[in-house]
Amino acid sequence: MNLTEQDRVEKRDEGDTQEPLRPGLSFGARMWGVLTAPRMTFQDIAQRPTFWGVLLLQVLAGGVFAWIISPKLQEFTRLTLEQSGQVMPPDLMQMTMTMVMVQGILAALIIPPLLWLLQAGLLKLYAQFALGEGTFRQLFAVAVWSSIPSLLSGIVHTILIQMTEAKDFLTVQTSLALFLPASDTISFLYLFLSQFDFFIIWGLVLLALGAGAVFRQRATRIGVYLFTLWLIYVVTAAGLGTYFSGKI
Amino acid sequence: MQQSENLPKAGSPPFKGQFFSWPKHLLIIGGIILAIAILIGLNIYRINQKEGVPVKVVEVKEAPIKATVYTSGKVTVPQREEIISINGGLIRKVAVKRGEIVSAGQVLVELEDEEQALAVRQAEANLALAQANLNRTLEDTAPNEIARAEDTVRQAQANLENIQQRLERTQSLFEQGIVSRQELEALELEEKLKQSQYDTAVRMLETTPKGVLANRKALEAQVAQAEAALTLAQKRWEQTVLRASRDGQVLQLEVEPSEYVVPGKIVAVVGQTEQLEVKADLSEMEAAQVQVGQEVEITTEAVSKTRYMGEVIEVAPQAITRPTSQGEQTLVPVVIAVKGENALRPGYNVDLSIITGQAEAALVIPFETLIETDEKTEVWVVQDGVAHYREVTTGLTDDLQVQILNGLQVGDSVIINPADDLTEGTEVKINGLEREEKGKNHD
Repeated sequence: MNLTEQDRVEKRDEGDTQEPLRPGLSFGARMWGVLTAPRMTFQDIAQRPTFWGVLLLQVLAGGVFAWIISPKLQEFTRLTLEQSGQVMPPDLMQMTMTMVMVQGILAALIIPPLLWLLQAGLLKLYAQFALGEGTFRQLFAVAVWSSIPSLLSGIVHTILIQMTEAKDFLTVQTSLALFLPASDTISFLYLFLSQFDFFIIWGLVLLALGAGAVFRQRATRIGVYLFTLWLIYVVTAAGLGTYFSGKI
Repeated sequence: MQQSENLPKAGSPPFKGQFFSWPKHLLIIGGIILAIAILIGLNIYRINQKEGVPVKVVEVKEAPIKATVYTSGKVTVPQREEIISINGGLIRKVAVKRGEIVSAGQVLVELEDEEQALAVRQAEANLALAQANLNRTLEDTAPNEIARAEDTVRQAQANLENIQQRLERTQSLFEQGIVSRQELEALELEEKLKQSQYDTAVRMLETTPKGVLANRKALEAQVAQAEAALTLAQKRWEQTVLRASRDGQVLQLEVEPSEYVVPGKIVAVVGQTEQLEVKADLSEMEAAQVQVGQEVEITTEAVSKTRYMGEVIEVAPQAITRPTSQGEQTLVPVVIAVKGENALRPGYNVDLSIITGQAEAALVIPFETLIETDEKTEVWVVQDGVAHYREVTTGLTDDLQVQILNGLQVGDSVIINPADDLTEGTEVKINGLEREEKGKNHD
C-alpha cells in the first residue's frame, strides 16, 4: 500500500501514541540543549515540533534589539546623508529618522520568520530529491530553533553597537570581515567575508543537524546542500552589493 | 530506538543524566563564551584602533623633465614660387609633371600665342612709322623754314636801312627848305612801317627753331611710345611661355592642355623641398615661453612612430587675431625649420612639442600633489605617519609632473590629491597598495 507523507506522519504519530508518551524537553532545556547538545535536542524537536515560544521570543528580542540600537542607526543614517552632500529640511530629516527606526524594527520582526519559512522550504525541497521524510512543521520548527545563535548574535551586536560611536555602526562585525580594515565597508572582499559570520555558520550547522534529525539522515549530506546554497547566496549578494556600490 | 534511549526519561530533570552531563556542558558553554568574548574583544580593539586618514603618496625623486608647449601646424616650403598666368588664353602645352624637379628657366606651361605674336607685329609697324616721321622732320622741314625766316629778316633789314638813309637826306633838305614837311612826315611813316616789318621778321626768325624743335620732340615721343608698345607686346608674347624662376620641385600643377586660364590664375607652384618649415600659431601665454632657437619635436599621423626635430626660427613680433566660433582669438604665429632628412611633405598637418626648457636631474612630483593658491604653492608631506604642509617653489612642468626648486628633498613622501579638510599634524595612513611612483613614467 502506498502511503502519502501525511499518512506516514499520522501512522508514526499513531505508533507513538501507542507507546507510553514520554514528556519531551522543556522550553528551557531545548534552549540550553540547542547550544550544548544540539543533536539530541533536535531529535526531541523532530518528535515534538513546537516552535511558537521560541519564535515569539526571537522575534520580540529582535524587535527590542532593533529598538535599542535605533538611535545609533538614525545617527549613522544622518551622518551618511551629510557626507553624501544631501541637505534635507529639518522636518524631512525627522521623518527620515522616524522611517529608519520603524523600518529597522519592522525588518527585525518580519525578516526572521520569512527566513525560517525559506529555510524550511529549501529543506522540504531537499527532501523531495534525497528521499528524506519530514513534515514542513518539523522543518520549520528546526529552522526556528536552529536560529538560537542569532539571538546571541543580536545580544552581542547590540552591546557592541551601544559601546561604539554612531559613525562606526558598520564597523561592528562578528564575521571574518573583522580582519579587514575598518574603513573598508563596500568592497567585494568585505561583503563576501562579512557573510562568514560566526553566528550564521553556527546556525547553519544547527540547521543541518536539525534536518538530519528530522530526515533521520547524516547531517553532513544536508550540510553540504545547505552550505552550497548559502555560498551561492553569499557570492551573489557580495557581487550585487559591490556592483551597486559602484566598485565594479 | 537508540535516539529515544539517549533522550532524558519522562519526568527527569533536564540537566541531569547522560543527556546533560555537566562537564561536557561546561566545556561547550565555556567555548561559546570564549568565542563570543574573542569576537567582542576583537571588535573593541578594531573600533578603538587609531587609524589614520588613508592617503596615497608619491616619493619625490630625481628625473629628467622637459617643459613643452604643444601646438599643431602645417608644413610649408619657405622658398616657394607661384607661377601665375599674366595672359588669359588656352593652354597649348604642359611641359612638366607634378613633383618633377625643374631648374631655373625651364618651361613649365605654354599658352596659345597667336594673338600676342600679331600684337608684336603691330607694335613693330607702329614703331617704324613713328621713326619715319621723326626722320623726315629732322632731315627736310626744319632747315628750309629757318632759311626762309633768315631771308625775310635780311630783306626787311635792307628795306629799313634804305628808308632810314632816305629819311636823313630828306630831313637835311627839309632844314634847307627844299622839301616840304609833308614829304618828311611821309618818309617818317614809311620808316616806322619798315621798322615794324623788320621786327616781325626777326621775331619770326627767333620763333621758327622752337616750333621745329617742339615738333621733333612730339615725333620722338611717338617713337618712344611705339617702342614701349613693342616691348610690352613682346613681353606679353614671352609670357605665353611660363618658366620656373628657380631650381626646385613642381609642388602644384593646376592646369591641363586645352584648358582656358584667366589672367592671374596660379598655374603651378615650384619650391625647394629640401628645406621645409612648419607654420603654427600660439596663444599669448604659450608664446611668452617660446623663443627663437628652441628645439621642437615634430610628429605627424602621416608618418607615424617617427619624430623629427626642428628649431624655432621666428616668433612673430606682432600678434594677429583670427575669428573663431566664439568670437576671435589672439594668436602669435611662429615658424619652425625642420632639421635633417625627413618624410614630411608640404601641406602635412603636424603636431609640435616646443621644448621651452629641460633639466636632466630635476626633483619632480605629480601635479596631483600640488595645492595652488594665488599667493603660494603647497604640498602635504607625510613624516612618521603625520601630514605636514610644505610651501614649495615650482619650476619646469610637463604633462604629468612639475619640477620642485625649493621645499622638498629626494625621498619625501608627498600626498596625492590631498583632502580639503587635511590639517597640519593629521595622522595619516599610507596605503601601501596604492603607493604610486609616477616619476617612473617619465624615466
